[in-house]
Amino acid sequence: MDVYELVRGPLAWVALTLFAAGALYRILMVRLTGKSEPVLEPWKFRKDAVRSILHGLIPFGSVSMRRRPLFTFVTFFFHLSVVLLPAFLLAHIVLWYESWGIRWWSLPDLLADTMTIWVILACAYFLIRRTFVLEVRQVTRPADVVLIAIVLVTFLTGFLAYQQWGPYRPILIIHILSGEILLVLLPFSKLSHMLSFFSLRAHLGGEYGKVLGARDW
Amino acid sequence: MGRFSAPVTGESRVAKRSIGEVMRSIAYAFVFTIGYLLYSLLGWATLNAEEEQQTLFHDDVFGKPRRPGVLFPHEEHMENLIDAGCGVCHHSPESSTGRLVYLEDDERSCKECHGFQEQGKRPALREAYHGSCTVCHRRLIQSRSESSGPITCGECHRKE
Repeated sequence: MDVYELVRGPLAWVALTLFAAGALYRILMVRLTGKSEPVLEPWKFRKDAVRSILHGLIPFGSVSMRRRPLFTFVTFFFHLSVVLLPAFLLAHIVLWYESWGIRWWSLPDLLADTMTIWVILACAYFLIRRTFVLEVRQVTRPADVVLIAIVLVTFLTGFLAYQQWGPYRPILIIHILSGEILLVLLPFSKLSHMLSFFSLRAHLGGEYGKVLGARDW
Repeated sequence: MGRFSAPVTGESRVAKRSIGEVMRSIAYAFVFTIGYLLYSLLGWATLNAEEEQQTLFHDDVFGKPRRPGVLFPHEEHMENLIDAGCGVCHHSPESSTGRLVYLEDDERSCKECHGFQEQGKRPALREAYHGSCTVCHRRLIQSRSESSGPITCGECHRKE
């Protein structure tokens, strides 16, 4: 079978299924096994939870973000790009229409290019940080480096494919394949913070507010 | 040196085998020349086929197209679709029923009906093209046809 057709068809289905099943599993596990304690003023818990989520979403909205301005700047646009690009890139939209007949608006190519370069440079920055900054190196495991490397490969090959630099077909196939690997790994690795971000912040914010009368941001 | 024979020097080796070497060289040169001639003939033939290509770049519809134009070998498609017929791509609405049919000698280009935006059930030009080209080529690959056309973005929309 044609390799492109393989990664574009059956393997894409495998990746999407594993991603959906894994994400569902992770979310359900938190929902079903997590116990919520009875609290005296539940509305206060909810208020602290929402405030914690908002402070985590807004750039420079938390103390830890204000302590590392460069990291915050890099990581904010990195996350924005990583979430927006796969969904709103013109090439992806064409493929979605081809597969499922669904269509929405696309990012301008120049903006998409800038965001992609941002992601690539940010990955390099994260790798350098994990290698040379002591407190980050101390909590770095090989898996963390591998995850960043896969993100880097996915966006780098995507960029090269759009520019049509290098051998087009192999680069495109690596791009799709590494994207699929990312999808599968997402629910089962640290990348799952994409799924748990809201519940995690809500929980911590609520607990800090409830027990200590303090903020967690 | 004594009873050992003198070692064969490079020069004497050449002298001994020179006739054989020359004949072999001629044979190599012959094969190479014939091969090169065939190769250039092939190149010339492909070049001629490429002249039958149309460039699809509809800035009149798309304004400033976001991808490079597509080289479309119309002749090649006519030859390959000789059994299937021109109606694989060319269709027009029948005047009485509105059903899409192939009308001989009324072959229109896609953009005569398909515009920038979709209109009801009539897809936009971009989707009409992708629906004809990519979908057909993928179908050929899936049915394990010997040859198929390009199916990825950059294989049609080539940057210079």
